[in-house]
Amino acid sequence: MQGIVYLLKTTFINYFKRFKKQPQKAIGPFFVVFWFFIIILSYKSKKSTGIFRFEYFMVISLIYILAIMLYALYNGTKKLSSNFEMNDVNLLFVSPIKPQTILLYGIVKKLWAEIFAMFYIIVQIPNFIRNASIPILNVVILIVSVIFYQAVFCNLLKLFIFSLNTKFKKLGERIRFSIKLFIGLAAVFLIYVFVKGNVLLFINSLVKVITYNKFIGYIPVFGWMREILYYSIKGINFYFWMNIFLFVLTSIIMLYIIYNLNLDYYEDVLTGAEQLTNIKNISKNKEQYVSNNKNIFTKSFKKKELNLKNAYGAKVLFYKHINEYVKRSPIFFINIYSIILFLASVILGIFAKGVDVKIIFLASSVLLIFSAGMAGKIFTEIYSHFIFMIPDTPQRKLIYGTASSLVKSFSDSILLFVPFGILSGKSFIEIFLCIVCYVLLAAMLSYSGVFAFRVSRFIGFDGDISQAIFFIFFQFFILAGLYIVINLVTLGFKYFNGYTIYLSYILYSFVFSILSFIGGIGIFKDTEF
Amino acid sequence: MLEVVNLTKHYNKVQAIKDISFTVNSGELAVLAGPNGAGKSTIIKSIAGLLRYEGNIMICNKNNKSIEGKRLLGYIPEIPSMFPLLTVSEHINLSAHAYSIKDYEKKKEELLKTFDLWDKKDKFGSELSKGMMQKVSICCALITNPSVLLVDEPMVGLDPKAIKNLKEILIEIRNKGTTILVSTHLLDSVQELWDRILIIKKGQLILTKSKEEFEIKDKSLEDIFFEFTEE
Repeated sequence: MQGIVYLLKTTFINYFKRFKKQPQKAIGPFFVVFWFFIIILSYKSKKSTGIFRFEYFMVISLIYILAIMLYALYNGTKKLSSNFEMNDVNLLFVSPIKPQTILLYGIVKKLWAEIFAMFYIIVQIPNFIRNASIPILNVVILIVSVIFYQAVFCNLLKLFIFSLNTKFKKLGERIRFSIKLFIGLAAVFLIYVFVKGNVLLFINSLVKVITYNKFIGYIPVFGWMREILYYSIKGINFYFWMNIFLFVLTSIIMLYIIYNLNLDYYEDVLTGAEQLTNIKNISKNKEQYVSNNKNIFTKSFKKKELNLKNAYGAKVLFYKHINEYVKRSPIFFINIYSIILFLASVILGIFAKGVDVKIIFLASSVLLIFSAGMAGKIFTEIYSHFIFMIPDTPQRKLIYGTASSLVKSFSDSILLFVPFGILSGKSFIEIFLCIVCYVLLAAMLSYSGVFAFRVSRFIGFDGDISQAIFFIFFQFFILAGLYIVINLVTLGFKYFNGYTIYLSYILYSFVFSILSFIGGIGIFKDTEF
Repeated sequence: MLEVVNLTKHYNKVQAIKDISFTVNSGELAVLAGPNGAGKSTIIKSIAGLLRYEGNIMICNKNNKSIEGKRLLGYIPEIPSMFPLLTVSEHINLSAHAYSIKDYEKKKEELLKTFDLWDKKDKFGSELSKGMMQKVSICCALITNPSVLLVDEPMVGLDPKAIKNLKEILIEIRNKGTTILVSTHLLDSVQELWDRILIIKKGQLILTKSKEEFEIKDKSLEDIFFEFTEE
């Protein structure tokens, strides 16, 4: 135990000590703390102007709470998710320390990582309840409760289920079956309501029952969380603390059982440790990560030979990426994400014919802005020496390195806009403009992503957290620019009627793409960006 | 021919490489040796054009960062990395096409057979062991017919047969006029190959000498290394 305490203590101290040597490493954590205070203080200083819909807050929060819990339960039956790295394996696992003690250390590591990962969600809470006019202390307590639920309780639940699963082999299967059955029944019921029933009436009754029914409060975990959310808005009282106590007590009991089960878990975490170490090596040493973990998002669906006929120099990047897409997609470019877009388009086309296509375009472009980040194929190349060694110009490397992402965006935009357009009878010109704007936006995001990556590395934001924060700011910067351009174009070109938004997108994406392209080219001069 | 002139490299405020210059002639195999942290990998990566640096690096009279220079350069990295969705065979095709090499199929087959990869040519990058990845890396570098070949710790991860084959290939391409720079700690493994030794210590080049320049001809690399690095 002493060894583990020493390791945790020195790691914690050295975490801050290194800021002295590399001050840029402090930027990420500093921003996290700074932003957190800004959000809390701005919450205090702003007077509520809108209407706070308490019931909607409760339902949305509880759907999130339920999703997290089901995920923890499901995941717990599958694998032991840990934050162990190969240094833990090589130095601790082989040492004469009790595996239970090392497991506790693993839990602490996991919690630390999860709290940082939750940052984006945590900062949404004050925005979400801004109009509720509740005391600032309640906001802080609510945030701490959500952190405790997600980072501590759900992780312990995952571990608890995993531990039981190793002792009772059938348990995992049964839990997975129950979860699938629950989701399946819920989906069938929702479809039935949407097709046959009165949707508004159903939503209203559901909202009322979930928010106010006192029996729900007695359901373990879900009900306790309902009570915590309820009283943090309505006023913290004895019942609030009682539910917190129930969570803490359950967590302690789970921890006690896990500790005393004498788990032989080392083998189960080895693969995860190797993968995590590889991923960390990417950001530290700029190595390419080759995952042996084959899931629906990473496995190859079919064998398709790489055809490089007449493709030489940087052009091979485009053909390689196309080949990877084809291997990984069930049909040509249509992968899981494309299928989701297509289904959304069909469902909206059938059930929401009246929705303006601009709303769908705006929503999809915001989704694209926040999901694009470093998702393009080009970012899988940046950590390998291959792209830097290709004897070709940086311009051609950037063009061919990003071209496949544009083809994919084009394919996605057709699946998203055409079915909806046909089913709801929208104007052909508008659907065409949506596709053009979507692809142009994707081009802009590809180039600006490379440029942002270069800038973040240049100013020393090379840590995972600091880079993520930089990207969040960069995405807001893009959105703000887009908002300004839309307003200017709307003012200047009134006679374009409903098409000004598309004109704004085309103008903005085009100009920003060129600027980002120029700014991003230098990335291929050397691996130091 | 490889020419490195006044190479200096800083990592933030730390000077990793201090104004070093050396030349490796065509048809010469030079061993780059030095203690851990001396700067060997930094030199190799600078020559490969992967790092920023001050100074001048020429590959057969072409700047190493120019397209012409890159076309003449082959690089076998210390840590091999594969594209998970490309097969072994596709990795080699990709390298050949990226370097504008045509009619490489026969050579590809020879290389794959030499390194016992022929029956694994349809395996994906994600299915390979570290040793196999290293072999594929070697094939990828050799398929481009480089005039200058940079090899970073070549024997690590290879089985004895692959080590033997790699040595034979290095001798063969050197005899055909390829310039080879090998960075390694395993001096015994390159004992029968070397023509020139470059010793780096604390970022400085403390020795560059060809085999012929030594008075005692059969001196081992290890003896030379300790003679110049021990304080």
